[in-house]
Amino acid sequence: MLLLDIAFRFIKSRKLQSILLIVGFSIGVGTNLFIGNLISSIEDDLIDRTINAQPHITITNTNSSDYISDYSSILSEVESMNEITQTSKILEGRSFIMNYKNDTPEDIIVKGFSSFREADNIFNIFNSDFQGSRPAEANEVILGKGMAEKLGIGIGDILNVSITPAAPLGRILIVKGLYDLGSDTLNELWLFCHIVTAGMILFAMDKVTSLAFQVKNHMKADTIAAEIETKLNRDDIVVSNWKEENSALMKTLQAQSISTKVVQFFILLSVAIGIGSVLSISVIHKQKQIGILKAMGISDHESGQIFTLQGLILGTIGTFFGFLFGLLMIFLFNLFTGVDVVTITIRLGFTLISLSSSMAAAVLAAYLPSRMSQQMQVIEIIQRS
Amino acid sequence: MISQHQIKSEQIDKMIVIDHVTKVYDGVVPCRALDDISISIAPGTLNIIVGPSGSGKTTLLNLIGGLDKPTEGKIQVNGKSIDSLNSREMAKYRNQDVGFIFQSHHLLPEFTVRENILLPYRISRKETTPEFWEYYKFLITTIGIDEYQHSKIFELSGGQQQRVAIARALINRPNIVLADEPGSNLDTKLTRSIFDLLVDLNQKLGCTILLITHKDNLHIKYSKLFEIQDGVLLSEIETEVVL
Repeated sequence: MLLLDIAFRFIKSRKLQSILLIVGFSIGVGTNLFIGNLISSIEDDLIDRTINAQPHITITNTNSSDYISDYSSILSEVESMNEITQTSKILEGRSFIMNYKNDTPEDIIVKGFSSFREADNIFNIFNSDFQGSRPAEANEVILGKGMAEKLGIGIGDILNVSITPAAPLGRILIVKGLYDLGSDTLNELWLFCHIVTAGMILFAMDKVTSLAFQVKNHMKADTIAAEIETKLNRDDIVVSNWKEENSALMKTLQAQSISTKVVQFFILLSVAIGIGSVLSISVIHKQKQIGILKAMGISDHESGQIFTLQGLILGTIGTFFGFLFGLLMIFLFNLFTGVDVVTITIRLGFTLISLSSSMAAAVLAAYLPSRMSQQMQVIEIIQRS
Repeated sequence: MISQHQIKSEQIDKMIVIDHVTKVYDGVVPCRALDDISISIAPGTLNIIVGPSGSGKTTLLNLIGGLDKPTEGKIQVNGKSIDSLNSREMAKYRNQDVGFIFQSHHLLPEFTVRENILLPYRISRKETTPEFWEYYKFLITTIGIDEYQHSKIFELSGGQQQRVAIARALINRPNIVLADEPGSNLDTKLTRSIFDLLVDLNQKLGCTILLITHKDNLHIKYSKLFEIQDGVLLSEIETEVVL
């Protein structure tokens, strides 16, 4: 308690310097907190957008346009794995929708699912921007908002969909809902329907072009995909995962993550050096007091602890205010830019690690001043003062 | 044949034993601050060390107080050699066996008068008891600083600051009080009152006092007077003062 008391008094006796130091440290800690949470949020947002538009793991035929043979056995094998949360049979194929505005066919990808719940789990079709209702009949489908605008149609309107641009082979379908996946390309690309409906359109009843799987931890999709491949051991199929298919994105995110960590490290290093240098100067300024304390019976080790405690006190106060400053920056960012750009969510784990690293850095920064204080010879100080 | 009783009584008679102590300060030209000094001091006595500036008086006090170590020779306090103490033991010795009063008061400006006085006691980590507070009250009343014990150091005069330093030196009831020209920064009247106070405390508390001063301050009653010049003990005068 005495050492803590002395440490506090030393800090208090150099008020302006201590305040400036705490302000500088707080800005560093707050900036680190803000940058870390911002980058993590951007990463998560990008990943969410990516995996919302595709399954975590997909199995297709080696020749991607062919159907998968004996898909039931694959399903039963993969479904038995603990990491799998959902499986979907998908029948997918290129088709055309007749645009009656200009009498030309529009390209579209028909995606037939065994249930719309499965389709929603993978593609998040029924998000807050969805309009209309879920299809209940075999001739009911969901169209993208972009394509609907292009065709000049809305909910309840009729579509003529065909595997060739020629209308006579087409199926007449009713638009029950309009999806919006936040991407203009995707909003014109797909037509979601039941697998039976897709079978009728594509003339491929009871056929499957791909099997889609969702896993508990999407970041482990690559290792689970490798396990599936080993388990199935079939030459006629390909097991792919979202990470592999977005390797460029993953590499960019990885590079971004590394560069962010480097920036954070140097911010932390600079504020720690700030604490270290101020405490080192403080040792020089307080050498008379150190000499007096040693003459009164404080040991060399304890005299060093006074400066370690100063580092801890400054670090704790700086970290606390840095935390508040970081929260304020995140709040202001979300308030003014978050909705349009990205909403920063606070990662508890990262925040705790960041705050404890800041405190640890402050204590470590006090090591040199602490050693200086320990090594001061009481007789030299007393003789000088 | 010397009996155990004789050894014990001899040790009691010699609170501090300086045995052929030499202190040389290293430098471009090594400085021999003390040269083969041998003296002994009885417990509870008030002893004076006189000598011109640079004669080695302060060096001797620093060695006894454990602030420095001799180049040669031995220093025994209460029968124990203090030269062999490690850093931690030396800190404990300085805290519990010795009370320092420096030329300059050497108080900590970050603390109040009361906090400065209590610092050595807090360093010792002893529990404060009602007896301790009684002693504290006795000390500040005798020294005459009870009125401003909550003041800041800079609010006090030079004489008051030196009185606070005396109270701080005595708070742990040390066996030895080492006073290095405590009146050097004060006027004659204040110096006289500080010296009278030390005599009074020596009589009331029974601590051994080593006081460095100039020859013109020899109005007080002392047991032994040591005169040092150029690091050599010139004379040792013993009086028959009953304390």
